[in-house]
Amino acid sequence: MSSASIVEERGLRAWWSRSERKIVPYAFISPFYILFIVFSVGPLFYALYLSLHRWPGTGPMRHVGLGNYTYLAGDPVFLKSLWNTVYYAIGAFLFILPLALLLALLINSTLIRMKSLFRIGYFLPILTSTVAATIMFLLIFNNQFGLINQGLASLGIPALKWLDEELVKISVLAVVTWRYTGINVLYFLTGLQSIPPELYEAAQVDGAGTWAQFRYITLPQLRPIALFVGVVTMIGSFQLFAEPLLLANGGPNDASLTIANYLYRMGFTNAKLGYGSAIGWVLALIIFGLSFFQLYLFGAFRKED
Amino acid sequence: MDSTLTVRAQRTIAYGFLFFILISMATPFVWMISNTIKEQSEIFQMPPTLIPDEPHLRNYVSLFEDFDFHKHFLNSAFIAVVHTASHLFLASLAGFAFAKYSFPLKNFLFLVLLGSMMVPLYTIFIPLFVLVIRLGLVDSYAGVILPGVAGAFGIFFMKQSMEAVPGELLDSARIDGASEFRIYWQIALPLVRPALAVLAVLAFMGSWNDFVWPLVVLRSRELQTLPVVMAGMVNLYRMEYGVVMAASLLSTLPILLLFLALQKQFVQGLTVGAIKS
Amino acid sequence: MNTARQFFVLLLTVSMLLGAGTASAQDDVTLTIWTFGSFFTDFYEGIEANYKEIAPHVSIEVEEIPYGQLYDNLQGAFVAGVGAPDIVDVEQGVISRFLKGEPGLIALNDLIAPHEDDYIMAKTGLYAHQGAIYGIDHCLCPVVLYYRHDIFADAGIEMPIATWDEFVDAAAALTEQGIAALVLDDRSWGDFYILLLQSGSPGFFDAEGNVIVDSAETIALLEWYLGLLESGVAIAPGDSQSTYGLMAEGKIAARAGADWYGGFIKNNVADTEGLWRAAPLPAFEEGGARTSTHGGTAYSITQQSEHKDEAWSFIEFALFNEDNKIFEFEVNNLLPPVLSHLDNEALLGPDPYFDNQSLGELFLELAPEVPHQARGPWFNEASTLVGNAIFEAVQGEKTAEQALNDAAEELRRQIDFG
Repeated sequence: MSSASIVEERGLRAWWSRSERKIVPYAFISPFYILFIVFSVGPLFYALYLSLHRWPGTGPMRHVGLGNYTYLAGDPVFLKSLWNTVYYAIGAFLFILPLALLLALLINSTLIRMKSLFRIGYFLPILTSTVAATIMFLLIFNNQFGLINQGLASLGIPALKWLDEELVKISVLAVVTWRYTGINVLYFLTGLQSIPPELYEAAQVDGAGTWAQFRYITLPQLRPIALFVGVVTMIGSFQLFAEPLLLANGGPNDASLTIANYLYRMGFTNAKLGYGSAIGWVLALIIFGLSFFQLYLFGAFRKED
Repeated sequence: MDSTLTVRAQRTIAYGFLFFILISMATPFVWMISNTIKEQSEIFQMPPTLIPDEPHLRNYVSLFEDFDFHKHFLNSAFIAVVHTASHLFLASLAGFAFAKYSFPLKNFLFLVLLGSMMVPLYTIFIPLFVLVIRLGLVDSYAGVILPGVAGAFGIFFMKQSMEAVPGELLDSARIDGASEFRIYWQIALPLVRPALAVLAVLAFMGSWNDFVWPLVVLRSRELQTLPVVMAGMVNLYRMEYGVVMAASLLSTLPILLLFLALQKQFVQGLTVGAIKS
Repeated sequence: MNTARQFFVLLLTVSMLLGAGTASAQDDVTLTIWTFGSFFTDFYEGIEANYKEIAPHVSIEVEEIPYGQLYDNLQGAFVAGVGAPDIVDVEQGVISRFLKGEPGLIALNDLIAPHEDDYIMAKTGLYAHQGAIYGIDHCLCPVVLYYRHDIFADAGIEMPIATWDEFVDAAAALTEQGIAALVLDDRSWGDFYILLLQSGSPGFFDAEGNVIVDSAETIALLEWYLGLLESGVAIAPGDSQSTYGLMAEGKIAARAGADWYGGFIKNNVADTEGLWRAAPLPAFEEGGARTSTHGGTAYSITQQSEHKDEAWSFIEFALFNEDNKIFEFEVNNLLPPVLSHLDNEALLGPDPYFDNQSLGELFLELAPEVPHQARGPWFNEASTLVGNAIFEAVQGEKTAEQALNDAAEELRRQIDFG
């Protein structure tokens, strides 16, 4: 090997050791972006193009500018589905997340044994196929014979119509809570597990009580995972699709219909590809805006330490 | 918790609550198990029965004889295993990069990543379908696995866990001359094993239960996955309720087994003390 | 080498001179069929071997895709311009979206024309737009009144009953005992549409495609429908599980349903074997139609198919070969929409579940009365809105007239929007 090439190799090595930390992160994240550009960005822009047209999927397209979006603003069914979706999202934050956190704290506490029994038990629902689970819940919520109404009857309470206009959203929410609480317990447990025990030991030495430890150690330390759980829950709620559809077909009278259900009804069932794409874009923008807001609240954009 | 409460009382309350939730959550599942060995008409019998009048295994037999359950089970398993392994690697690698490096455009790129989670499938469904046809990915497992293999969800999840890995530890490895990939592979990765275990279960489950995408890509019956076959059991003109519940029960088993195998990892946690020594 | 190549070129020239037509006719053809039900798959696979004897060069490849997803995939294939099958089973509930724009399905008018006298043409209205027929139904799906003969006998009511007026009068005896004579949907359009067609209406649109959801006849029928529910003659349990439960308890005495619905009763209310019979629907007036139609699935051929002739030949074989239709009936209980098949003995046998009645004889008698209907590209929109209107009217949020007027107005707005 010539001395020149040794020098060159050394130069290359020196350059690499200087630049490795600058280049490597891009290499580490690139697989995602390549696939994302191919399989999401392209289709997304095509959907944007479609949203400026009226088109049943075959034959000529009719360019309507922002016509689909203005129609959307005055479409009573869309507004209804928007409200329903917001209702589910608020419900998820009010019921699923506090319940999941409480369960995770209990399972994680030293008081409790049989931890794996609870973990598995809570996780079972999400493993059940949606179709099978829906059949079970239709039997549970059934107006005439359902388990819940039979239970109420034995307590002397008159039967409630769980799948009618007034209660159907609560029923959907119950199924969603049943299905997704366990996975959030798991997320919170992961977060709790990664809190260094030394922090608690130090606090105990300082005489901090259970509540103080929770308030000043657990909660702040859970921040990254809480942000994750919050964003995922929000995205999941706004994309809710299967449960209202299978449980009540979005009804009655569109009372349980979500935006994603309406998107599907327009874009597929009614073959309004342009209008469906406009709904899709509005939905994506809503989700994006709310996620951004959540990240901002959690200070995710502040300068790294 | 009130300090005046004895530990014993606290424990009783805690167990009471945990069991109450457990029973509420398990009831539909247990009932479903009993429905797998019932006649169709008994499934809808009111009041419902937990122990069937005439238990039988015909639903399970039908599952294997009429629906080739075993074949589709293997298809699903192959896809799920390949997907999970690749996803764990790519997601933890990218999560590590986002958590432990600062680089230009990082915040922007991360926002894009989050944004990708927010794109509803049905918004891009038709364009995606057209694309898959044009790329010639129809009827291949590559077409099923490739688009989702580096999913944003997993990266986000791994990033949040990698945040907890102490920076000093990585720096000291750098001083020892380790390459960045080695730092990721030998130092960071072992520390986030709980998160990896959780992600493994989630990734496997996501792939195992995925329905819409495999359906679009896989046309041949021989290649189809379990959820696709299960969806065909209950429709407008056919209601094999007992069979679909049997299928649902059997198809939870692999994830359940994975969960049991990995759950020790969930509780291991980040042992900072061990790291310091 | 050179000689060989020359020989090859010569061979090629000769075969081209002989004509591409002959060559391609002898080429093997694979027809791809998309379907959603395993009973259709079983049917196709069952007749494939027989078809091989008639057309040895044609192979059949059936791809079974779950209902719903099948049609999303079909739509995707139409948008992409490639990827559609040759033949697709189009369920009646999804056809309207494929009638918009330039349909990706071919018009079958000329192909079905030779069979006009034998095929029950009333079934083509479901799949037609502006005169073009895009689907040929597998099934006749005639509607009858399934009823508990024991309950009606106990109440001293003689079945069948000739008209709905008489039926409503007689039902009072059942209502007194806390039994609903009839079950109706209160949140979707299915039962209302059955009765609407039976009453002589073409449905939600007239033959020219105008919205008639707010016509005097439709409003009057909905008012009558609401009256049945209010008086207790009919009950609306809201979902199928409740319906089966109430049927099993003997709280529901009858239901209007198609041929396939008989199978649903059998499967879901198995304990009541021998207690059910079927009768013609009571007519709206003396001598009026005593049946309707509910459901259906059509054979369609796609524009993208490169083997349209072969596809039609296969459909003709599947549909008009009597052995095939009888086989299909055995596989999936769907009654053929072909007059000359309906008197086949295999369809006329007694059914123990239905008190050894021959349902086939009843269907044969009613087949010529199956009503025409007009659907077209806006049927999905219309049925969703009418379903909601029925629900609003049943809940008392609106009168029948208000609800249907609002639905019609919104429907016209949606049609204008395109």
